[in-house]
Amino acid sequence: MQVPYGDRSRGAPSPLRVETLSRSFGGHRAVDDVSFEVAVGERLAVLGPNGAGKSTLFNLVCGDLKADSGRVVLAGEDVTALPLHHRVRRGLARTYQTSSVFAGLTVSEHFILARRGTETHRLSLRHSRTEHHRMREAAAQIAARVGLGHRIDEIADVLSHGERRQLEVGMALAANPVAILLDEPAAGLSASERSLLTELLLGLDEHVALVLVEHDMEVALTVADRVIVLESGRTISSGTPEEIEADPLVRAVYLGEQHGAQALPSANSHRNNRRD
Amino acid sequence: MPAASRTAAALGVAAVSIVLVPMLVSDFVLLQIVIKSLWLGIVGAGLAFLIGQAGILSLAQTAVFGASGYVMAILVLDHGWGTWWAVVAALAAGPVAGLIVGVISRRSSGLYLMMLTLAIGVFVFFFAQQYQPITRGHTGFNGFDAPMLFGWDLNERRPLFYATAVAALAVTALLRYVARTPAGLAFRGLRDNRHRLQALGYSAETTVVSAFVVAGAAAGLGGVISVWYNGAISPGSIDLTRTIELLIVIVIGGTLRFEGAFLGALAVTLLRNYASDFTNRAETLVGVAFMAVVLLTRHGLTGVLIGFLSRVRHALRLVRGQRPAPDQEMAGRPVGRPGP
Ligand SMILES: Nc1ncnc2c1ncn2[C@@H]1O[C@H](COP(=O)(O)OP(=O)(O)O)[C@@H](O)[C@H]1O
Ligand SMILES: [Mg+2]
Repeated sequence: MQVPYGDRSRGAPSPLRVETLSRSFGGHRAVDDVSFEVAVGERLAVLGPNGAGKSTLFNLVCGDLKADSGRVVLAGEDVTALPLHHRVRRGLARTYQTSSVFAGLTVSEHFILARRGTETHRLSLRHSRTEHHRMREAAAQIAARVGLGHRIDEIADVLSHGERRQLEVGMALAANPVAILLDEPAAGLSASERSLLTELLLGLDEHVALVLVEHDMEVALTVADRVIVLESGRTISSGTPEEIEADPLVRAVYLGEQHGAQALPSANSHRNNRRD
Repeated sequence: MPAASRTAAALGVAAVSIVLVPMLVSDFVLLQIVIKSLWLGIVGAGLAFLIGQAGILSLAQTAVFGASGYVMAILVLDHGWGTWWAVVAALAAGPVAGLIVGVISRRSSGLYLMMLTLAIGVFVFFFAQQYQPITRGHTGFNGFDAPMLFGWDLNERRPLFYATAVAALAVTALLRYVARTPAGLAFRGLRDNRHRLQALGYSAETTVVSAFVVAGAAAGLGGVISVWYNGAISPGSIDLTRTIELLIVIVIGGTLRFEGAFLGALAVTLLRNYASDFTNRAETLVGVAFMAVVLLTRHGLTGVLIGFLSRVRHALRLVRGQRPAPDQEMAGRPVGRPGP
């Protein structure tokens, strides 16, 4: 099970490599010299207390924010100088911690928009019936995967908070990315929505690399192959979920913040649920 | 009803009304109300598309429309171009002018875009007024003769009406078509969430420029019809009052559907013409109507109409004993009165 590199990927550049990224806001170093790399098919969880710099790290990786220093390498190509939309076209997809959707578009239109965003005809002024049907079908599949199959023709404005989180994840999947960054996708989800999300993440395409920020340990530790822990913008620990759980430094950070042992539950108990 | 047969039915209704209208109304009404609201609606439809579909509140649409009208007048009256070649050039001038406005304002949105496009509109107005060698200054161009088409003289009311009606249908068809293309979906994405659109791989700037080009195509056709209809174009045709008039048309019509511009144009034209029968303050009445629509409706007359139709449909279903179906008519945006 612990073979992150399949045969298919041998010799291929890693989908996403981040080298010594830093970013300050007026003297405050929100992200401080962070590096990581995800292999083909690998699932990396980024943990850390509120304000640790996780969302800022995502913003630097996808190009929402400019890094003060460091590099972002996507599938072997240095994209540090590229704006957000060019990084996305090269296979990077992300979700936002606060749902960011299109109020007047239907669920299906969200997925179609996301799918076309990485194709060359995204602004085409030609309507093709066959292309449209193909897109509708792909959108319906995504909708079913994220649990929005019954809401496909609703506009986002009428969706619940949880459904908008699912819509975010669906948009990321629809783009057929090489690397997905999910920023707290389980935040505010009900227990059943949460388990659906866990199922979905476990069943992700095996050649997609996933980077997951998640406060819900159950989701994070069930899904992740590897974990890095941020605190005050710095990486304070990294390793397998089991190693992270045993790390006294991590326990101190978490216990310090959340006053409870259940903040960092036993990784083993969750990994037993894992579908291999 | 499937979409194809519905389109066919709508086209049939449109064709029959186009043939019938000149027989049913007086020549005065045909010229002062029908043709006038059609060309105002054509220009308005482009702007309503820009605002309602792409969320771009441009105040330069009058300038774009003026560019097309001026190009036609200048080429025919000052350069002796054949009238149909000038029409082709004028039709091209619309999207080109839209492209230029779009490139200038591609980085901005919201209030800043309004100010920028206002500046462009004011600049074009002053250019038309003061750059005499090209634009003939504030007198502009007069005595433009509309061409012959299939043996009909477009200076005559009925032929001009038919040409204008076909142009209105063409603009409607064009904008409806564009709304279904990938670009059309991207425009609505831009309207709802510009940043998120970028995060899906779209260049917001290119999307903005594309929307301006599409709206420019509608304005180009409006410019041609305007010069045929008025026989003239001058800085007065593109000044700030015209911009405001266009905005009033769109707000009264509602931007939920760009077709609302035709409804708005008809309402404004009717008010202008008939209010003077019982008041000598017709413009004030237009202002009052404008305020009433803004205060009482959220999506102008189209919103009222759609709301009414869906209620009728709902009632019919109840009468027939069917279960009320979810309202398809509303897809796109919630319809209703403004919130608190
Ligand atoms: N745009 C910004 N401007 C100023 N400070 C910011 C900005 N974005 C984030 N920060 C600061 O950076 C730190 C890290 O924030 P964030 O990345 O959102 O943390 P996390 O996602 O781990 O909770 C916080 O102290 C936050 O206040
Ligand atoms: Mg965060």
